[in-house]
Amino acid sequence: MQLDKTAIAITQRNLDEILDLSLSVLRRYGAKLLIVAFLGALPFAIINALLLSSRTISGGYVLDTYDRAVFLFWMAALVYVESPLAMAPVTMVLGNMMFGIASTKGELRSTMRKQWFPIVWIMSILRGVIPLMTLIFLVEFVSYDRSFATGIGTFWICLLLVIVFLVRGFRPFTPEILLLERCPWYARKKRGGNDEPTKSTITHTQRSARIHQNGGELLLTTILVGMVAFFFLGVLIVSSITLVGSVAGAWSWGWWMDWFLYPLALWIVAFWGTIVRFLIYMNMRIRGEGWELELKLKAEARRFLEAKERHLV
Amino acid sequence: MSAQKALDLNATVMTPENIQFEYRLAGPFRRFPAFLLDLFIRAATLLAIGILIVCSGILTLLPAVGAIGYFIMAVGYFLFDWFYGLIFETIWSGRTPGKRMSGLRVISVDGRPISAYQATIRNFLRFGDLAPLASFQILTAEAPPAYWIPTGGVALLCILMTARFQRLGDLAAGTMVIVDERKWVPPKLKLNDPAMNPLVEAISPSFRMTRTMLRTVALYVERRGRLSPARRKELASLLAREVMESAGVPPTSDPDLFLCALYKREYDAQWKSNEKPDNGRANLDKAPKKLSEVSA
Repeated sequence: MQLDKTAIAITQRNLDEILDLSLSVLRRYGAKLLIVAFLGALPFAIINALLLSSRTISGGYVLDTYDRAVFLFWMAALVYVESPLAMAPVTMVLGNMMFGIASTKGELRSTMRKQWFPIVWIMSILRGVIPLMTLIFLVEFVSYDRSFATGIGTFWICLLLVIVFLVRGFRPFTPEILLLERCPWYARKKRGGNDEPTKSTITHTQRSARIHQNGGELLLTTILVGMVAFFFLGVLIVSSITLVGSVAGAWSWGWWMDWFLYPLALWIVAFWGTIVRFLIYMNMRIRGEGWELELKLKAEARRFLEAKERHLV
Repeated sequence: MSAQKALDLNATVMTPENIQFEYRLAGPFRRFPAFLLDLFIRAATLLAIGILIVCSGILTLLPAVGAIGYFIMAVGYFLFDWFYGLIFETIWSGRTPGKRMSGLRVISVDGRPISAYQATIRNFLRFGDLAPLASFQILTAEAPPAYWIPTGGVALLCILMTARFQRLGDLAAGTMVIVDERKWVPPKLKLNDPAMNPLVEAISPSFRMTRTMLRTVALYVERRGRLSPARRKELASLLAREVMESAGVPPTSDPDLFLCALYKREYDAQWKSNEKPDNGRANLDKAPKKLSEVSA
């Protein structure tokens, strides 16, 4: 690994610097990353629309306040829970980009194929994507009394969200460990029946435990970034309404917000959140493994040797 | 991609004399606490003035002066709110109280201090940065079409599009906001490993570290606590193996302990000779003469 030839300078940073840097990343690599994000998010956006379609279409698109609140909340919950999985390609491209490796479709597909089990088990089931989708499907399409099911469903969705939030707060870098470090699920056993794991193998669990040592600090960071994301979402939504209002004179929240601009704002925030999470992960690695120190100590040793050669020391 | 410089928060400025300066840029998130502090100071000052006016009984005279009194108050509020940033940034060389507390400064994009003209432009365009202003009708259809809800979308967009994180006011005035950390304070760390003492004594008195080496060693000692013992040894040996011989220390010594010993020797000496009020700031590192040294 050549730490002095990275796309983003190896320096230990504070959270405010990381957030600022995320905007620089967006400016320099935004176009490429946006295409990848779009491709990753599109299937989920379609599934979300289908899952929530009956609530809006059945009423001839006259949503009352309660129905709209449920619609907006469930849509936000879906995007929040799905975002690490939907943005997995962005994480992979960012990881490659960091070390100057070109990302090809084949390489992304092959990584996903190799890591299919943890992706399905951890990112889809344990982190709530499939449970949430199933829950909403049951409420929207299977329940006999939908208004009753909506109330009960909202309770379970809230509970699921709290669990997912805590899991992701204490273990935020699971996508990076799975998709970038590609640690094996189990340590390989030596051939010949010896049950000792090979020395060099670090399993996913070991790596995760090492990276997520400071759980409290990570949770606090997640909360702070979440607050900023919430603010961003607000700016995007209000700006969207203002834009539509200025152009079309329609100031109130309409179907275009429900179906296009609101989910789009949610996905944009999820995309930005993925970049921020990647940068925080890099910062953790820089701090935990002393990458910045390595560069500085090497540079200092080189300077010392040069000075010595010039008989200055 | 490989030809591009690694992405960081630095801006490089080249003077007509061909001297290169590097500044640490302050993006919107770094600037936000300063913005909040200034907002709080403005609000607190206005509140204090308001309380003073109420307590002084001037309001009882207002009916006598009628609309003129309200006009004076409105103009006073406008002047204070709009000229706060302008005046402070002009007289404090690009700093408002909030920026000063947050260690930020506004400078011209060519590295010079900002002028009163630039301060005026960037502060008067603050309103433009808050656009688009949303109508109250987004909250309820019955509300009047009053565009009073600032979104800050223009500022965000400008900051996102410019390499120097410039908002609209900065773009128009040719300014940027930088981190103004003038002093590097060496960390005072306790190193109690007794195995280090023989090494401290073994270091040749004639061996002197350069300024950059001092900083690197200090950084290593400050951060080594987060590294595993194996990684510590690996990292420390990068520098220690080159320096040990010149320092008169046996090359078989522990590299991690050696760097700690170097740190202890230098910093103990500095602190002992600096038993003054600011002795926490060992004078190893005087305030940089140029802002370019800030991000070194």
